[in-house]
Amino acid sequence: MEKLTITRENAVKVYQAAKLLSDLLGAGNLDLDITELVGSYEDACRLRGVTPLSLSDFAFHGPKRQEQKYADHQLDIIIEALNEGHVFDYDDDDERKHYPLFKKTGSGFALHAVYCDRTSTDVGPRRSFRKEETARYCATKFIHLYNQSFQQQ
Amino acid sequence: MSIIDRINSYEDACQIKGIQPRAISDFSFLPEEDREAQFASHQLDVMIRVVNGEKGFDYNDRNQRKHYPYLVWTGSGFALLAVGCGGTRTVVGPRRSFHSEEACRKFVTKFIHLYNQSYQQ
Repeated sequence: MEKLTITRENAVKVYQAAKLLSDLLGAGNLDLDITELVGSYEDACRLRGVTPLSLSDFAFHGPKRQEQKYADHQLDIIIEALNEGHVFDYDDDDERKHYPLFKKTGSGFALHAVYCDRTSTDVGPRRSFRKEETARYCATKFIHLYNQSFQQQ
Repeated sequence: MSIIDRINSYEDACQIKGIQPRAISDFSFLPEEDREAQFASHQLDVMIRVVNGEKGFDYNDRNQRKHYPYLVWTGSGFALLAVGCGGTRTVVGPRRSFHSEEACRKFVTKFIHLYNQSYQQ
């Protein structure tokens, strides 16, 4: 990631402007839900600080698998961003791990429900979500990636 | 000898499919923390495909069972707890499903280390 430098004087100006805005609006009004920040794979890459890859990077899997592997990768990055770097603790009985359940529709899979586990799993932590709403958002907004990832051929 | 008994490694599955085995270095284009998980996922893809043969899953057929493992945390990693099955629904998709409960159970027990690697956070 490219590093930028800033002078102390400019940093103070930015801080003062941000503080003024926060005081005027109330700090609570500036809280953004993570789903508002992650609208695409590229958004998630930016938040995670990694360079976006393209379909051609997965060419070594062969033409049949290239698209599904690229979809897997995009889901990895997006879900990690949506979970805000959270690491699931499967020793913690109280921590819920949410994940989507899909149902076949005419042309592909669609979200059917969101389940949750505590110390067991169907999908593992890389496909789990801290919050039910986030699981619902991801499995709806990025359903095309799940369908690409589920491709059999 | 059943297909499960013939597959003791990723390399066995590659040989049966007639493809060249990959190495973790092939995944070096990914962010470092994703490489091992994606390599494990690739190995599972290849081996499960061999176990299931050419027969795909038809999610329009509610009578065709799609078996998948349900894993539980043991303190140091995940272990097989049970085998679930769906008809027109899935949480894992066809690439992690099996045509028979027995194949699912044997495969997951034998290659649980790859599931754990693919689950790495």
